[in-house]
Amino acid sequence: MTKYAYFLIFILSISSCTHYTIKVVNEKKGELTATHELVINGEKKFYLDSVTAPFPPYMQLITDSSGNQLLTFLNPYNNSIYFYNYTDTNYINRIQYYREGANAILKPAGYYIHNMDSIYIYNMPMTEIVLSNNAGTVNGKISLRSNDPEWPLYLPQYLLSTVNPIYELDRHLILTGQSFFSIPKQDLSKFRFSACIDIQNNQVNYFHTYPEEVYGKNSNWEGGLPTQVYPALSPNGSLVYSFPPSHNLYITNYNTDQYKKVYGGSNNANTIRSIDREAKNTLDELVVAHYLQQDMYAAVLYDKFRNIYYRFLLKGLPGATFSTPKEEKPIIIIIMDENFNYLGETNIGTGKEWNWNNTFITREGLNIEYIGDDLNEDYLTFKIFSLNSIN
Amino acid sequence: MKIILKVFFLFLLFSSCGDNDTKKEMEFLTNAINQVPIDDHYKWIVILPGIGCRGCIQEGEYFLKSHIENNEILFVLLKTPSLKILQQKTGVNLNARQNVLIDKKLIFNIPTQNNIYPCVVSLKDGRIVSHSFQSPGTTALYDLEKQL
Repeated sequence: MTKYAYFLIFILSISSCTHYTIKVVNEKKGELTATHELVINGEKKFYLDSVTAPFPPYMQLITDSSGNQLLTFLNPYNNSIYFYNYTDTNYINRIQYYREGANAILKPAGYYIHNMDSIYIYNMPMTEIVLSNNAGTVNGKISLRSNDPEWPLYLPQYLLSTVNPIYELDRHLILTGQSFFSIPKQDLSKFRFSACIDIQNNQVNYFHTYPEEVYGKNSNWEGGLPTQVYPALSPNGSLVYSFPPSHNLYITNYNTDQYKKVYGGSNNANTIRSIDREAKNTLDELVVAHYLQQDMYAAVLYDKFRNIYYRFLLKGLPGATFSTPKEEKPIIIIIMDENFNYLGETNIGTGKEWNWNNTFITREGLNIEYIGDDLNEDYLTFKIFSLNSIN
Repeated sequence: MKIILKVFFLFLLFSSCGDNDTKKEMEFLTNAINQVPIDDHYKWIVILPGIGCRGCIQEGEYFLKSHIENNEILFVLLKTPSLKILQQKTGVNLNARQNVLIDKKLIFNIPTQNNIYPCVVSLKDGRIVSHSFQSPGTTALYDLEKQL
């Protein structure tokens, strides 16, 4: 009888591990020819006040009514949005939001400035969009969750950033969210990560699922980073999604679920593997080490001035452990033309030098926040990259 | 034989990962203080991570503000997102303090899941006696405060 019991336990322990390790092969590795590279050709430095640190969590470049290009960014310490003239780098003003009272916005974690009377702010603790203005007044709220405490299992959460901004398309706000967990096979076709808010009636609809060939078969992509989704807006208004474990890019419209898939990978990226363990039994140490060891793609941006795309790749560190800083991953920027044909790629260094989360495009080029290695926090600094032909 | 087998299974099931972590942390911290010359007059090292358990970090920042004048404590600042903002919050000129170590090389980045909590390391004659964490379930900073 005891023997049967042990046998039963053995069979149960094997049959419960029904996960599958996904291997995402880079079919064009070593076959691509570079014709272009990125080189640094400029710098912008914005002087910061005594209560503003570099590395702001969110930025938006806007054009004011006089045609001036303004760099705006969030200061989480004093709950403000700061405005600078991008051209001459001079400080203009700031909008302070309250943390208490009728106009409270507890923790802004992203925003979209439609105009100075309509500023949509993502209030992270409440998972809501707050309609505000340049006086800090709250004029409305749109919830992005339900009353069910288990809502994160079927609705997205949002880690907005300069490279994962809120877009406005056809009078709709598009927020690209994500699941923070691996998605069970049976839920993959139901979990939609993109919220689409009709700003005329505040109606919210959800679109866009994770591709099955990358996230299917109960594969283990725990930790939140491999399930992060990065959007770019193409010149014809399509959304282009970059999923960290995929060498491909996925193109769609904001209000449909169908994708067109194109290759958008690196000539040097390796096969990317999901964690070879069942998701619910994976220790954090393994999740972190796995992310660090694998090549993982990140943001994708469209450059309307040069009609090209940039896609970031964070190279894997083969010997990385739980305590290896994720900033040690080398940062590669892949360059593609408007049809996603490969133009080249450039290794710019590591996250110790660059805060790639703060990247945006201007007429001058590709602006990336530069960290440097000193403790000076007086300036917000960007290096500007431009495209260079390789002879 | 069956009893031994069952005891063995139970041992495997319940042998604590916590003990392994504590040992790993002690070895790591011993190695860390060998890398950084730490004066013998320090009785405690307080490691304050800038990223991790938010409430615990706030308690750590309050502790720093309250006890920065105590020269028996060495404060190690690890993964601090902004020294400028930490100075604003605490009112302490961190760069000017002898008993503040800004650990940019992550020498004190503890290699376990506890690295999201402030850590109090007790020293005697420059050697580690014990360490504990300020976490939702442990009270290292309060315990230290009682000794001061």
